[in-house]
Amino acid sequence: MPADDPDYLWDRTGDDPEVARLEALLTPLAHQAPLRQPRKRSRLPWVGGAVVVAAAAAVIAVIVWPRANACSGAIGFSFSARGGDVSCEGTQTTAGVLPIGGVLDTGDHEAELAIANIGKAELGANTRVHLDRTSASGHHLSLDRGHMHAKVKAPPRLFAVATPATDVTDLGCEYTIDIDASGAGAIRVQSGKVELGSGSALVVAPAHTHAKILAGRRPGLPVAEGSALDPDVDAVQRDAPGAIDALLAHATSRDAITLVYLAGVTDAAHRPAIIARLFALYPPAHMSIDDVADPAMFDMWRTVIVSDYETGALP
Amino acid sequence: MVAYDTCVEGDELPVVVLAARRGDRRAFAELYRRFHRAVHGVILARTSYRDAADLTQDTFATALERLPQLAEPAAFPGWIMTIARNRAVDHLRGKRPSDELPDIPVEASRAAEVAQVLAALRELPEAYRETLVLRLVEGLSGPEIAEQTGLSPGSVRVNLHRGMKLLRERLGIPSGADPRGDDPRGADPRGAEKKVADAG
Repeated sequence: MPADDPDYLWDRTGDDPEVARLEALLTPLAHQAPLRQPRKRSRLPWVGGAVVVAAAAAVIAVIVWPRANACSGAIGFSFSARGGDVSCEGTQTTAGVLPIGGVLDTGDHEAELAIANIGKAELGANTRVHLDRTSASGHHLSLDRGHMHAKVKAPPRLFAVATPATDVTDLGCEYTIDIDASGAGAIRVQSGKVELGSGSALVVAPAHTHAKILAGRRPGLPVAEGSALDPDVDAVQRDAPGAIDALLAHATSRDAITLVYLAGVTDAAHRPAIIARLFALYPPAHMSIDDVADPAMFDMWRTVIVSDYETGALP
Repeated sequence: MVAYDTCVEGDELPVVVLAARRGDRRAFAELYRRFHRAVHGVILARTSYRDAADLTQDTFATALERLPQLAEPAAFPGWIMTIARNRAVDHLRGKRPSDELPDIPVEASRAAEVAQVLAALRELPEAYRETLVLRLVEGLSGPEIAEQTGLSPGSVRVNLHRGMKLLRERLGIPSGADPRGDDPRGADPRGAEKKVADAG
């Protein structure tokens, strides 16, 4: 039978009364049950008993324990340690709830921290966070030091991380922050985007960029993954003499994502040269170089560059 | 378009499998939605109707535990079918066949015929048996069977026609000549899963 002939048995095209009769006879046996909540099964029968004993012991411990554990409340971010105990409010524990105002220090181990019901953060060793605020209007953590890999699924700006040098505001949805003992560090965005900085000094780092977090300085500039511009950006961020000129000379069109934010945070003396170079590398449609001198037009151009970077349209 | 908790968007199977592997319950529920009928059919081709539902749930529980061991997300269909076959075989080991007539969810006047057709299906070679149960019981089309089992569409089509020819003969149903119905063994339903021996 040629492949495109009607074939009821194959794809219900055409007609085959006997197959249709068998279908009608047998389809009441088709599976329709919903998924039951899958549970990990114990391979050892005594484990179930041990769990019951442990649960009973836990109940007794709660009853006789005179002081409530500060990390066992209902409000806060739940966490679980990996590889050993972590410190929550100074108490060593494997799991609990980080209360508002509480401090979690992973010490030698790692931990997974739920970000309310909107995501989770994996915390590396020697990481210290404290929960500043959690409510329906927003969830704010502080990352004093260490490593955090966050995945958030929520509207933009519902989750923010304060580091000693700058604020990181989630615009959705996956990124990694590393902060050293001096409060400096870096952020790497895997998907979505984040906003760095506070007040009017803001930088957006879209997916597949990274940026330095500079202690006591302006927000770091986003740098495209794979760009050769990192040394130049470092020099600019150290305010090294001649650094901006070198950066402009080395920039390619893919570095438009860096230049468009450099133009926004640099001093007035360097701004025209940055805009001219950016215009040469990635000119906006239907705008002249005089147009982009207007702040509103420049903002529009920046939006286009960020969007083109995110969609891969930047060459 | 579905966005899972990992912020990965997409309905492609590897995306859903990766999200489920990262612990996304909605993604796992989506895998169940896509594959529960195929899993049930593969099990029903070997075990009684009464046991098939529980073994289907058991198969998904096993899959949830072992998802981190699945190296290639695109291999999920063949992988979970192998788990289903193994669960069914383990279940049958040392177990005597029982009468499933009382459990069949149809009116009494048709239950005997349903049981007779099921018994005839289960006597077919494995490749035909599985494919025909998926088609006639679970209501999957040939292309859906191929997609959900990891078999090639050509193998599924051949198995359907050859299996149907044998089934007609065993049920005494007269049939016209079918150019595909000439191999008594069929394409191996496990051929697609030889790469995923870690399914257990």
